[in-house]
Amino acid sequence: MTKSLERLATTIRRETLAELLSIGYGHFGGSLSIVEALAVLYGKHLNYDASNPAWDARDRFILSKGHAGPALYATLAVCGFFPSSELKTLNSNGTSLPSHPDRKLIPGVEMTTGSMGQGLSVAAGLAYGLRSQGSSSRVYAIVGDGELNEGQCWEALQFISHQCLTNLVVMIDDNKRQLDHRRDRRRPHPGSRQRPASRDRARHRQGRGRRVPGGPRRQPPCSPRRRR
Amino acid sequence: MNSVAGLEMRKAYAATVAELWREHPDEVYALEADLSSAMSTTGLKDIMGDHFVNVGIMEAHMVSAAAGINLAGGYAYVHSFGQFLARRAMDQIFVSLAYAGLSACLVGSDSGITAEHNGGTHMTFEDMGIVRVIPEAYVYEVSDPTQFRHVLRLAREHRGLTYIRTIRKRPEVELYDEHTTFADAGALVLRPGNDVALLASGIEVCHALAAADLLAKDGIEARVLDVFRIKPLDEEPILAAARETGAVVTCENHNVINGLGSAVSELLGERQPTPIQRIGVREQFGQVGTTAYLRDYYQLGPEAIAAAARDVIARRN
Repeated sequence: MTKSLERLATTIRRETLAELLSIGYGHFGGSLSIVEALAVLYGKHLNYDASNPAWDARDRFILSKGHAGPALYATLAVCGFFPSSELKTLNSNGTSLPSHPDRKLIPGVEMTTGSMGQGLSVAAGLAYGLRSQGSSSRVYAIVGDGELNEGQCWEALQFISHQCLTNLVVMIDDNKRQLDHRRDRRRPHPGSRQRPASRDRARHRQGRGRRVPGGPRRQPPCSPRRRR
Repeated sequence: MNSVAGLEMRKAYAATVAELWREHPDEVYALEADLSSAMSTTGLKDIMGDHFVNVGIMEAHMVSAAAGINLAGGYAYVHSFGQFLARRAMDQIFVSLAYAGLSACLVGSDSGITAEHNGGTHMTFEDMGIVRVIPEAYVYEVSDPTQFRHVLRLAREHRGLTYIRTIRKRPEVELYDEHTTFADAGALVLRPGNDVALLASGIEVCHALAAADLLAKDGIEARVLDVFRIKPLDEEPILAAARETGAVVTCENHNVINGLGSAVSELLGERQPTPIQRIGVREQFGQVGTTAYLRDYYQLGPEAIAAAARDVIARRN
């Protein structure tokens, strides 16, 4: 992470904390655990124009773990989508910043999320739609490791893989926490580095495009599309 | 206008989606969740290319993905059996589409007893009720292929969330042809009469017409309406029917809770209190059987409707 991205992350973290502390409750952990990812996305990778949030050629970001809305709001404010003063309205009556993001209420929020698992499917549909329309925009999504408990994530990941959605980048916020307890180590999420059972190990490694000793070299099933 | 008269409902669906895609090739998508062969949409892949997507057995994902396609500027027609959409993916319909302010047309097939040999797990008597409670949703139950085509086209025009309930095969009677003018109507009078009003949707429309024939033998003139838009109700023809007959029977291949009977009762209770009897499924689950057997079992046929009409006329008097 470069110094400038670290500074951006620090600003986002400070604004997120101030926002949450102004009401005294909320998802502190789930918000703070994605600050660095948001800084890297909005500070480096995403193409966007804060003065024209509906710019056709923009990249899209979907916060599937919608309970981290305060961190997204802080990021959008820091990046110029709306004034930072708005952040103090978090969850107040009539606010445009409800605890979970609402695309109808505030510029820069691409999708309404908060019901776990759905944002990943929406991101997949969005990436599919953009690709089929010849757009070179990318879609980025952050899902929570706890969110991956949801069966719908499994549906979405199968779809993403089957459709070779190489214009979609899914980031897992592996903060190892969920509301009631630490994420159960006996129930790792689909994206974890879980060691497959030995008889499946060779197949698993082949599927990741790595050479299995003594076996044929295989290419990954999807050839990445060239970035614009 | 391309006619779909005489087609099975599923073939009318496939033909209309293909027609819409030809008119709006950048915008129209069709999604299936492994029931493409059941809905006769397999040919759409060759026509629509990557605008036709069979996602596999994942209805919840399919509904949310339709929301994503809408974010990308597309408009998706999303089909599955009714219970797999309304029952299984209710939260996705609510949050990903309706609450997020996004648009798609959901088509739930195999309505009620027409699920036949798939039985109780697949037999949905509550799908319209589930979607009807969602703010600003449009809910239709179509009765013939020409009307189905009209509603499919309408859904894309008015945007938002539309749920269309249909059977897959041919209706017993075709009611409309290419000369029918639906305009903005959500209920059409199919038969005049001032003694009792039979308000029906879907497969119950032809049973209501047959019930009107039975009642005519006793000198009772029944007005029959095809109320194909359950939400929002087309209020004026329904209020007129209640006002001019003073006795109403609703007929639906659905639970009497939260379907056509509830919608009409709510309207009349607030605007035109009128004796009403609801034909529909009461506190029962589905089961395997032929449509004819199930129609009699759940008391959805012409005889049951005619008996309800006589009851409600007696209450009026």
